[in-house]
Amino acid sequence: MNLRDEARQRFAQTWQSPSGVTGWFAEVNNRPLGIRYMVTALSFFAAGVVLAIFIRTQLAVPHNTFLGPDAYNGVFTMHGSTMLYLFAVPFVEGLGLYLVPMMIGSRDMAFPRLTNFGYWMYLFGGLTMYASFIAGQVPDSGWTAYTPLSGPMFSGPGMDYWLLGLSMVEIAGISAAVEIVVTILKLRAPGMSVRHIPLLVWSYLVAGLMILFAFTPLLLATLLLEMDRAFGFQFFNPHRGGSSLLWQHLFWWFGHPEVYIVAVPAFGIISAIIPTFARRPIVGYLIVAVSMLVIGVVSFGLWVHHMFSAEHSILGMSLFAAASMAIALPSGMQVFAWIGTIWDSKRVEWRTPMLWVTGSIVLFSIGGLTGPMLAAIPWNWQVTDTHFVTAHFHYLLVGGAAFPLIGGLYYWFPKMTGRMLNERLGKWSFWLSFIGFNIAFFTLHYTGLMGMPRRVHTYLADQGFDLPMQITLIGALILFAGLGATLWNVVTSLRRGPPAGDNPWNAPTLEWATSSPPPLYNFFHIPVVRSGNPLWDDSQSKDEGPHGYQTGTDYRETLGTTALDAIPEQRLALAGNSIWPLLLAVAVGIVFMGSLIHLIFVPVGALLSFVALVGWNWPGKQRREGL
Amino acid sequence: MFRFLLAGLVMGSSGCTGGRPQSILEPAGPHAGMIATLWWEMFAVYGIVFLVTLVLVGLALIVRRKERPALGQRFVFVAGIGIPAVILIVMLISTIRVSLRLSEGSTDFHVRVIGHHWWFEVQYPDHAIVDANEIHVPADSMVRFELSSAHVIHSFWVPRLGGKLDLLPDHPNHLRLQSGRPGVYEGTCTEYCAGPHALMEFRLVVHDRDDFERWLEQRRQPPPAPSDPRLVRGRDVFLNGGCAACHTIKGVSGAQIGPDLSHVGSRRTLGAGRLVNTPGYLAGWIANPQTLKPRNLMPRSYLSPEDLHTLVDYLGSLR
Repeated sequence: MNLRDEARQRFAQTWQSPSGVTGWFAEVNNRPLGIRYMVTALSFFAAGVVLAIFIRTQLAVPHNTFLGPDAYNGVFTMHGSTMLYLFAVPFVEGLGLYLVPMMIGSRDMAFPRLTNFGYWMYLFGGLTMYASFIAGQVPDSGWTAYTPLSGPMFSGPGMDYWLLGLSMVEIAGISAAVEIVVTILKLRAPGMSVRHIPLLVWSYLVAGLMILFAFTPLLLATLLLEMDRAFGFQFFNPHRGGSSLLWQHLFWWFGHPEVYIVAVPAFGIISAIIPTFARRPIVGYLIVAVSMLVIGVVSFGLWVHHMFSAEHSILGMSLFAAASMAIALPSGMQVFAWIGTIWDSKRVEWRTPMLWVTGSIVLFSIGGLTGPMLAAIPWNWQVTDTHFVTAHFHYLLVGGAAFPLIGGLYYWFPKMTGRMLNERLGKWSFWLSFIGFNIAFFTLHYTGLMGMPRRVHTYLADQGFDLPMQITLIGALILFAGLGATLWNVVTSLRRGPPAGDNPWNAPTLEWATSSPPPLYNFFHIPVVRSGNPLWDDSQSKDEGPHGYQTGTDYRETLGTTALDAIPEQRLALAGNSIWPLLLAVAVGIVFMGSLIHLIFVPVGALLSFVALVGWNWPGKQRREGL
Repeated sequence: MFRFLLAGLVMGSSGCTGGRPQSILEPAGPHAGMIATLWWEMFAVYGIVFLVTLVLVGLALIVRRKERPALGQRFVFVAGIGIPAVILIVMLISTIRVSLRLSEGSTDFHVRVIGHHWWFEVQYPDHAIVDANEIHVPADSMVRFELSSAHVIHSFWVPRLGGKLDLLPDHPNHLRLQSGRPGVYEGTCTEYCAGPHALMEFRLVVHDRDDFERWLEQRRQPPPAPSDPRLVRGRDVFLNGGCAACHTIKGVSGAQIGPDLSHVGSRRTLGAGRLVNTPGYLAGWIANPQTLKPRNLMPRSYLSPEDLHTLVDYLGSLR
């Protein structure tokens, strides 16, 4: 065997997944961890959908006894919490962890052990929240947990499960965000200057920065509330000098950017899918990229629009109303860039991902237009806390975020598994979901206009809500069938789907230059990029010859480049597989979860965390594989 | 024209107002009227924007490229920023104008509302009257509702008269509503407060001027002491059966845990909007309020049937 083949063999060995049970826990590569994040998120999504069916069943007839008030209140709290904290952001994060290194021509994320640590924190956090069901103490203060209702005097131990679980999920979010931002800024392939970064990667950069500024205050708020509950502090008790509104400000400072953290990568997915099926680069690349940045910044100036019914100072609220209307502009610009791209294309291929994405544009437009309506303060005073708001945000979160995520699933499933999903089943799934969703949620606009409040476990019989509630149930069941069809599609195609090949869609971005599924190291040679659509441009060489940079064969390494122009500047050692992130996650978990049992676990867990951190950072292990 | 057609569709779809007592689109007062007009303007403008977008998406997908000119970036700018910015500025001005109009004018009647777990305490500070779950105001006056809460955050909303405002434990909030025509309007709590939040409602009764003076006069007096022996017996049940531990009846008891019952006989609903006030429903409520409004703070009672009936008669006499 010649030198080159031997080098390839050693290189492949360096980049192998560890084997065995311990190996599974020690895996640090972004690909398997990204899949782990997504599978876990989809499991939580399924739980959230079941909770939604419970909600709709209880509301189908007035004075229904399927769920009493406490049970219902717990169900809707966990539905919202699951969907937003345990599905939306983690799924987006998982997709990012999987795709971003591939799309920028890197071998892995910047801090592989941090990826591993983040995953365990997410899993432990989600399980802690759901442990409340087993303990019989389901949190019931809503996903927004307003004080004083969520404080020590008016809610039970369920809220402690919620707060501690959520804290761990937030830590996971922040660690993933740190990684995503650093990876995108420093680990791009040579030549991928800021003008050539794929729009999906731009969206992840924006979302990552937003997470850093939004999740941290929420972590603070959850810890302050837990201090009120566990240690007798009075931050949120107005009778002792605290403030109940303080929670609302801290929460919504996070809560409004949160929905854009979910939506901006979803828009990035649309910006990745439409050019592929329109067979042309996107119209207005710069406009779309700048729009995402503008959304990222402006979204931090909207939060009071969730509190218009808490105070009535017109001047202050008008500033937030103006900003809330203004943010429709960058969102709208992206929609018109997409329309422009489709319009200016010679031929559109109607494959399943394109269907989901087009449906999303329609639904997102509806939700995006009830937004400026809600920003109109007097109208807000009428419809806030009614089903009108519920309809609005479901159009945005399901239509504007979940639909593109599902489209992305159909688009990248071939890359992740090497198999195609079934087209016919995909189209059935789309139409059932689209029609069912509209039947269910358009009706809720009407119920809101008729004055039906939200978060109600039942309603009186003579208020005109009966028929709309039944219609909504039917729509929800159709949507449920549609989503089930995609699940069935995934399960059956994993075994029996037709083989995909490297680039089944003939798409332009770098991830399609790898095999399906790709090896852990993504590219044998880190490519040199000369355009924003590398696989479509003839100047970009596509074959496996020596047209890129090779990195170390005995240790994991990737190329570090400058932030703006992606000029290679350093070789970055990447951590190999390690058990220390799991150990640290367990120690931190002991601090949070143990405190539910006894406070002694807080110092015990802290000590163990210190030990784990020392082990993690012990020098000398970075250039060797080892546990 | 379009607005009337649509309004007709909405109203015609389920009979007259009786079927939708909390409808925002059937305003009974000037504030709600201004907001409903704003809604129809927004519905028309944003509806047209949506239809245009839909048509553009449809055309882009269906018509073949060769048969039309390219759009390019200028289209994205004009359609994405230019036109929407103009529309939004116009709507913002409209919004601020309505907001300012809703806050002008001085108030001439003052009501204090305090939110409790799943009922509304009502006070008339200028007249030293205390009540619960039902508010009486004169017609055509600007009412100032001073809103606060004993414990958690609630909200106060009469959809057919105007917007809502939260009841906070921190400090009083002030809501201004023009009372409009005489009538009975439904109001509800809308800020999630756990438990039977769904069943926390109130009634706002608007009287014409003379009627209101009479109501005030009647309410200023404490209820007369009963002379009928059956009613006396009922009052004794109230005192000895546990009711007096939570409820006030002027001249009889002074506890302030539950709603004031001094004039409960003339109240239109029981259990904060849960039931119509009839002797049968009242008996059922007293016997076991938990089956009707699960998790509310009133426990079931263990009165003998005779005691229960005399109590119901006594409470019914408190008008």
